[in-house]
Amino acid sequence: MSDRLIETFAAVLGIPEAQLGEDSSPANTPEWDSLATVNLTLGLEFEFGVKLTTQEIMSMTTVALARSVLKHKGVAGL
Amino acid sequence: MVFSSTVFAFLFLPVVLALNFAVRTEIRNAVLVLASLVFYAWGAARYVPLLLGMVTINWVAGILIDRAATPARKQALLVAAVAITTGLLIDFKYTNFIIDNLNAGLTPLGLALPNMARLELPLGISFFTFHLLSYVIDIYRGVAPAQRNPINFALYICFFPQMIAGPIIRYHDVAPQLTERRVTLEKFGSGVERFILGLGKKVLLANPFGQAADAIFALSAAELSTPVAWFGLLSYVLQLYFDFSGYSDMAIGLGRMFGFEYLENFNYPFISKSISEFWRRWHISLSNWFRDYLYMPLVFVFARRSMKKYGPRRRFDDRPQLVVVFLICGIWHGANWTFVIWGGIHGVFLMLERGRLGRWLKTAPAVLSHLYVLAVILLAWVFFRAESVAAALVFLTAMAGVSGADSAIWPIYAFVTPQLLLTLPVALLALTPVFSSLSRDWRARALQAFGQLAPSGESEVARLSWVDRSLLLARPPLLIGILVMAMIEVSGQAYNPFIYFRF
Repeated sequence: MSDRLIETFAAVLGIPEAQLGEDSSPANTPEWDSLATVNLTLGLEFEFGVKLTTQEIMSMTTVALARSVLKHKGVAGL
Repeated sequence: MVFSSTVFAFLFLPVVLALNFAVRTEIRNAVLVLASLVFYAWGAARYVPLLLGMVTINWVAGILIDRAATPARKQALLVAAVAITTGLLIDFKYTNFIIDNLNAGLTPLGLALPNMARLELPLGISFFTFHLLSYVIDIYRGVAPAQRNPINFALYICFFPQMIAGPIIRYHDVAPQLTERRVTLEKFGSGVERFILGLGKKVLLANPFGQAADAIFALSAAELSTPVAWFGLLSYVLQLYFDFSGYSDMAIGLGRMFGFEYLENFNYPFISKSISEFWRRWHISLSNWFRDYLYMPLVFVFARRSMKKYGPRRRFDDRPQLVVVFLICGIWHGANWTFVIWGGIHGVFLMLERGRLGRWLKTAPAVLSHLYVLAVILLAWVFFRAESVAAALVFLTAMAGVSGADSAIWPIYAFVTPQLLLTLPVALLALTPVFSSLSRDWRARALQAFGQLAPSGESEVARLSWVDRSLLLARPPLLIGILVMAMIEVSGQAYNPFIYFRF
């Protein structure tokens, strides 16, 4: 089953889905720089129809944490 | 008062440390705030009321932002607080620069504005205003709760190890430590060691190279020959790095002695293979500040606009914002076009690294990418150090070998003293991680090595490489040697502040 969250991350970062895991972070993913954080935020907001606060954006430092923020905002199927 | 002075090391620091451990926990922060105000007043007594006024305004603003009932009200309060703090910085630092530049256009029309009488720049204003801004923005963003206790807030702004020249600590990074911190013997010891290493960098490495750099940058075009110019720039680069990273080591070490943990400010910037990597290794606290509080908000505004206009498929291009942020970063260092050009050079190369240059750097041989970084940062530092753009151009002309200056007037051996020749290899090696074993947390390893046997029954000492083993054994006498030599130097020298004090 494809994972929409990983798909979005891979599309925005421009890397294969296989290179991403729950613990992927800016520290272990060179493509995840400051600009990618902005693009990821906008990509996730568009894909999942949510609006993220600064606090939420700053807390999304791994794929797993991004998943938990989105779940917390009521996004289903994650 | 500077950290590398006898009055600080032998009077101020021991007294404040003794008080810190003697008083009850409840009044510890108040004692540290008072001590920090004495530290500040030592060099800039007339600005203590200004400092306290700004602390009060932003403390009140933080509480009001936190309590504001609507997002619009929160935003209005944030804008007001940011305007007051930034306005103060602009007023003190840039008024006459703005007037001079306006006059360049107005004078031919006979409309020149008079310069404003200005007191000298308040010590540390560029740094404490960035701390104040970090606080109100963090409260507005909800990433840290407002600080109800004015003493704790004053400690964040005024604490003497970091008030005058950083590291610039974001409020959300340090907030928990303002009320909850512990000093263990281990932490205190590592703080003392870090302080000594920083003192050594400043006094034994930065100061001698600084003397050579000052003398060479003061030469006229006719006196500045090519080898002397190159040696002058090398000396300045070594002075700047060891001065500022030494200061940062001392600040981090002092923080630890009082129980604070600050993030690192330098991480071997000279081994970078791109300018973007350089900015992840050089003055890290400043680049983090600019990234979090200027670049990100700026990029979000434009990226959201672009998203609305073009939809999600179009990747946002941040190159204009990058250049703007680095121009502002440049002028933050001082009201002079030289700093704007320095920031502009970094901004332009960062922008280029977003494109083909960046792709090339990823595959280029390491030696070429290192040379590229060195060329860019050296070019930019000529502007950073020179008194004016014209002086920087004269210096660059001399470096290029086309100045025609007579090398007999000031031959290079007039500047290369025996002390510098002895210091140079150590300084160059210290730019790389060769000595990193010295700054690792060696104590735990030493305890392990000398106190216990590994599970295999083999001593940990035997497992260490001979380099690590030698450094482990050499470290205590080496640190004592550095301290003694630095103190001998300090006791004989005139006031010699850190470079970043003037920013």
